[in-house]
Amino acid sequence: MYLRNSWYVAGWSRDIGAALRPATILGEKIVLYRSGGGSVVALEDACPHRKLPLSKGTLKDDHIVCGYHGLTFDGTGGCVAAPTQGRIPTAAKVRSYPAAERYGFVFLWMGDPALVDETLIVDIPNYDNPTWGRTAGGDMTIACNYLYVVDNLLDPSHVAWVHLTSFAGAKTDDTPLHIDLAANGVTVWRWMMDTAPPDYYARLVKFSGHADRLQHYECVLPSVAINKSIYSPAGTGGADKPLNERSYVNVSYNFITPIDETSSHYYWFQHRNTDPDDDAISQTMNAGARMAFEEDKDVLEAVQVGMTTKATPHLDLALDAGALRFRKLLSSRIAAEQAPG
Amino acid sequence: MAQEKVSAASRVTFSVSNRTVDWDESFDNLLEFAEAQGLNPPYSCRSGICNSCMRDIVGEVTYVEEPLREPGEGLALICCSIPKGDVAIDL
Repeated sequence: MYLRNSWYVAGWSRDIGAALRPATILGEKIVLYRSGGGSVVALEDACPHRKLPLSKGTLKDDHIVCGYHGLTFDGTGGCVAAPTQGRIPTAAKVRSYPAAERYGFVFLWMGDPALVDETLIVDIPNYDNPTWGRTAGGDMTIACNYLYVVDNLLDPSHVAWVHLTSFAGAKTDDTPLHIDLAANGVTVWRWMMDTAPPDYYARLVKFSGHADRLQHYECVLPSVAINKSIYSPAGTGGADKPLNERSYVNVSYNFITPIDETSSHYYWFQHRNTDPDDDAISQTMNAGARMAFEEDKDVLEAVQVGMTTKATPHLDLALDAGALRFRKLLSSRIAAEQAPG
Repeated sequence: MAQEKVSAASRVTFSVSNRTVDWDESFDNLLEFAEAQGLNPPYSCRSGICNSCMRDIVGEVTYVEEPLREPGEGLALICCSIPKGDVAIDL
């Protein structure tokens, strides 16, 4: 089940060029390419004749030529040539998906094109702020339902067991979690006071000694996870205090696109309030993120199998509260979208 | 924040063990109260999401934390509720 009137990442802008690129999103086969004018075209990846994937055809003058009988479609999905026919069949149309490019990604609107709304793309504060740095980001496929990835990204507790070499650290195993509910998402957060930063972050913060550490794990509809870490000099952090001028802020943006019910395409980049031009830091952080996410992938693919083949009931723990409240919010929005009328 | 003491005079009956005890407002919820009486109700999350602690109940409760799924009529999640008047729980 998916929320359809929403934007999903279909790929990195840098990967979409003048070549036909197939993708499966929400179980739908789509072909993407960039037109000569620079805009991204996204069409159903099927010729209306015998449903041969159009991605098996060729791109010619911004048009897709089907590799079976040459039916030719423009960037809106309209048929512009039907070489074997005297006249173009009126029903020769291919569904097209609204596309938008932001933050280095191509987003597709998977619902009713009449409802397309670019303001629904998640806002990333400071994206254009020249004092912030960001990583090149990465992506991977994970053989699990996308909501297991969301669960993981709303769960600050797992870092103490899954990410021993990176994000784990003092008090990540037992500090209580707070949950904030919003109209479009859920945030699970906690401050851990006066702790030594884990090695991954110790190299990045701009002060020495202990830190007050925030884990802010937020997920917004449909499946965008914003994981913010703040490290402030010990004694200056906390929910009731303004951000200290020496605080280090790192935000991991995670976009989870369902491929289908049992596989997901996970895209991410990280954004920090320091070292805007330091490529070495960006590369180190990018490599660290990928290593950690490989650890998640290993767990989540096994969770998918475990939950699909379980012989005895599973258990929900208090740490699942944020994830289950997000699932409930998403379910209610999907139900509202599917309600007749 | 001062909370209205709606349950000041409540009496809690544990119907299986055939015991009635005055509700003690120092407890955060009925689950902790039952445990303090030596009972061992099943539980998991203790935060209103898993339904492991759901019991048959006669009477009304006030939720101190909103359950993820509203329990049906005659049922209560005792991990996140306090009595509202007299209640009887199948424990």
